[in-house]
Amino acid sequence: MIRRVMVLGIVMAALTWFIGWWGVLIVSIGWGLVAETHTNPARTAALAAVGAWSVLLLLTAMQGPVWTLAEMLSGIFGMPAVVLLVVTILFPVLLALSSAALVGELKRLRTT
Amino acid sequence: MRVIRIGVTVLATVVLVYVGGWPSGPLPALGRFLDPVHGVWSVAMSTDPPRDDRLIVDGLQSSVEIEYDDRGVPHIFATSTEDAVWALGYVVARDRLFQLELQTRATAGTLTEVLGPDALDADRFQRQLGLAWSADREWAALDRGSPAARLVTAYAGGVNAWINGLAPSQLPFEYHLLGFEPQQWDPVHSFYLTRRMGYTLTYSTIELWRDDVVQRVGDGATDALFPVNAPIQEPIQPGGRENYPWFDTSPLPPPSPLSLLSHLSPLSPLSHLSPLSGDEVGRRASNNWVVSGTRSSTGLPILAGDPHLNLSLPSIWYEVHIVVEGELDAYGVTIPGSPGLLIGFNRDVAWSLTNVGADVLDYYREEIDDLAAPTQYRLDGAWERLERRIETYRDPSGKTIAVDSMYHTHRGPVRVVGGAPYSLRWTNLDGYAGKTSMAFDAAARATSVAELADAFRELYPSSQNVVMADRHGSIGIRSTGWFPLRPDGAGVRSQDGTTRSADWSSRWPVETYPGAIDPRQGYLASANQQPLDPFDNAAYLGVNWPSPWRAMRINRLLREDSSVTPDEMRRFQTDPGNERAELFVPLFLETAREGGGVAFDMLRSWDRRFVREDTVAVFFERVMDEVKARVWDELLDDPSDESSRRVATPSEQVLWRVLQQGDSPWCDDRRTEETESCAAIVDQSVERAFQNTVERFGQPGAEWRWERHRRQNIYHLLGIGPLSRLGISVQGGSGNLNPSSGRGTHGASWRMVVELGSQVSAQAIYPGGQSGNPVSDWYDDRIDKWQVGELDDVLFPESAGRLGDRMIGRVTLLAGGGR
Repeated sequence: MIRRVMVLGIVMAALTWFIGWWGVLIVSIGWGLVAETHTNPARTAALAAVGAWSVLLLLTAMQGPVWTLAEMLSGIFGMPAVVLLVVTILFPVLLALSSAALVGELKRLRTT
Repeated sequence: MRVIRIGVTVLATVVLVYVGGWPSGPLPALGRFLDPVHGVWSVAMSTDPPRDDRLIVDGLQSSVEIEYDDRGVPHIFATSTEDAVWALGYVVARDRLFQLELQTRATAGTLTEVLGPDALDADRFQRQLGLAWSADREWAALDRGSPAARLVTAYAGGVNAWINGLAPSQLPFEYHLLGFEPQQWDPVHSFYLTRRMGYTLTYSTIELWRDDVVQRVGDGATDALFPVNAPIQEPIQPGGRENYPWFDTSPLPPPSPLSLLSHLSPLSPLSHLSPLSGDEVGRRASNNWVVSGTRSSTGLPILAGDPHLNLSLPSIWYEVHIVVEGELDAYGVTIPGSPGLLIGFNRDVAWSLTNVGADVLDYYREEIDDLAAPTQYRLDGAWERLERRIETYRDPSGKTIAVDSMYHTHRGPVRVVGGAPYSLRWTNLDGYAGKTSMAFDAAARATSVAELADAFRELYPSSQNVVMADRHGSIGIRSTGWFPLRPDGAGVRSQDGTTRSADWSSRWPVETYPGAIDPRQGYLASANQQPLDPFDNAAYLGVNWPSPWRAMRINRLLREDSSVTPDEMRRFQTDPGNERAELFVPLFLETAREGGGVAFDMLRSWDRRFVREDTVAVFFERVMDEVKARVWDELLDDPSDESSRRVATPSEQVLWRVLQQGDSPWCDDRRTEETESCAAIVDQSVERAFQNTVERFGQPGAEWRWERHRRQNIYHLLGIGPLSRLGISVQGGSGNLNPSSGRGTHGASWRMVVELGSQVSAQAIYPGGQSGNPVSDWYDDRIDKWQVGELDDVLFPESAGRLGDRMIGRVTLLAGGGR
């Protein structure tokens, strides 16, 4: 399970790097298609998304003042800086979760 | 159950894909926005100047070296002018790309394409003025091989090279927020900028709202309230009278009796024009001055530049040093979009600008065949065809949201104001942007004051007073611009558009422009005052001049100091002395009743210095407001309603002329039975202002401190609060050399002191920083020093590699062959 999450996370991060946030959707749908239904592909995709975008955000933070930026954005959007960072991770998680789960459901529908 | 699960996952996925890929309400498309690599977070990765980049680029003739010093200033070393200008476009785009885009769109009237329909009114206004339209026409007619065309084309090449090589992390913050991509930079966009500056510095509507004033006080009185000649003279060209400042103490003509004003209308159709008083016009203000070696402590000429403009983050200015081997070695500030330095110095000369305030715009009352569907206008008894252009406005999705027809007579665009059509004749719409670029290019290469003066002969659209100095000891000042000659002599009233005889005949001969070279007094100064004393030359140059408080102050300081140091020049820029208070307070005290009470005591003991800890200035400003409200009651939109606004407010120098007269009929409040004297008005005003100030801030004390009331506000270009620096207390107020008034959004935008000798010594600052990236250390790093009037030492190396440990980054641009 951990290995699967790590591999999926690396692919997700790489695709995000090259084509942007759509990479999360593509990897999650792909994973939903190839993974066995009983392995809970949605959960795996969600965990991979957490890992992928957290690492990417961390890499960005190592190269510049992300927290300063978060504080500035918090002033613009009227929410705490930490919430913005959480939302940044939550968005790919929900996207990965819902899209992988959708594919899983459709697969099940087809087999029955 | 399964159906529900499928339904939920479908819905969740669709919603997430939608909010990820498309903007929803005020939110940007979240997927792109939050993406740690390509989204807003990546902005944090591009905060510093480049460490040591080597890039192969198309468009250069040979390699260019750019070194960044620790103030974020790029020093460009090139072997040809075009390469240097190309590199200028490149570095400006690197630091100020969004600013370039926003100001271009604001001028072109295409803001709706990125901001949506909310920007439609602003776009319509800009397109109606025809700034971009006229710039496009100039560009279309310009020979592409001309020096001006080559300059702006090279600049565009540099800007576009940056845009085309943009990494996601280099996309400015604002693009992420608004969710759009940068447009390519067209060479004509540099001409747009020239038009925009012309608009900022010369646009006026006095001829339109003047009729509102005439309705209330009569024609003669209107001329006196908004005079062609300032009642206090401190001209930029040393004048022929024995002493300056010179005061016109003759009585002001009285307002017309109410009974004569038969057609007074409480709600004027022109009221939306928001007339500015002379002093508000003066907020588009600036100072510059120069002393020759005979009046400096070192025996060398020293020049101070201090242009005042709307303050913004990033700043309107961008600081840069440009070196072209054997040709050019100049330092100063450019405005993003301009292919050269506007204010600055080289090894031989220095120059700075202030706004002349000349009248270079006239309105003509036109007779149109059909206002609903115009096709022709009446001219010399015949119908002439109106030129028509169609303007289309689109929203961010590209959908058309409005289409307008705009019309032109042979003079310029037609505006319908208060139901009446006017055409606009304005030098800013003539084709002079190319000449302007060449004027600044020639200035940067000048080696003497004479050459500088010659370089600026054709600086037309936004007429400027150029103060100059050279290292040989010469100093000078010259007004520049295209000053029209009118058939009736003056351009105070709107003109009859039905006859060609009302058209401008030509312009002032350049030889007669205000100016002086090496005057006996050993110093020169300008601060937007009337440039020529009418005693010496009564030709019409403009109207409603701002009160010359700053001009009086700097002239006083320079007269009193025959051994000026560069540091004194710096301190003058934020000098707390205020000639306005020096003139009005004694006048108020003269009129005081016996003793006059505690309020008058405060004024009596006041040193009239607008320092931050002062506790009387706040009260004095309220007195001024009260006096104006009482004296100018004739100008209320609705005289029966005290809360209604004035249709216009004369400048304070006119108010002074009224008050010193003592029994001026203007002091009488026409709404009361009795006849008030000026003394009574002052008495009431001082008492009322004191009561108001106490009611608002308590008894005199800490709450009255000037720093609690007078603040500068430097807004981000989009007005975004967290990206702005607000509430900056400063030394200065209305009429100070460091002016601060109104909303505090206007002020000293660039301060520079240059001493010219065998070595050039320069100090400078502006309120902001070089970078447009809000999380960069160079975004607002200069504001704290600017606030207290300090300047940075400027690095002016003669060749590459001499910045030593002050160099923090370098870019080498290698010519890739293509152009």
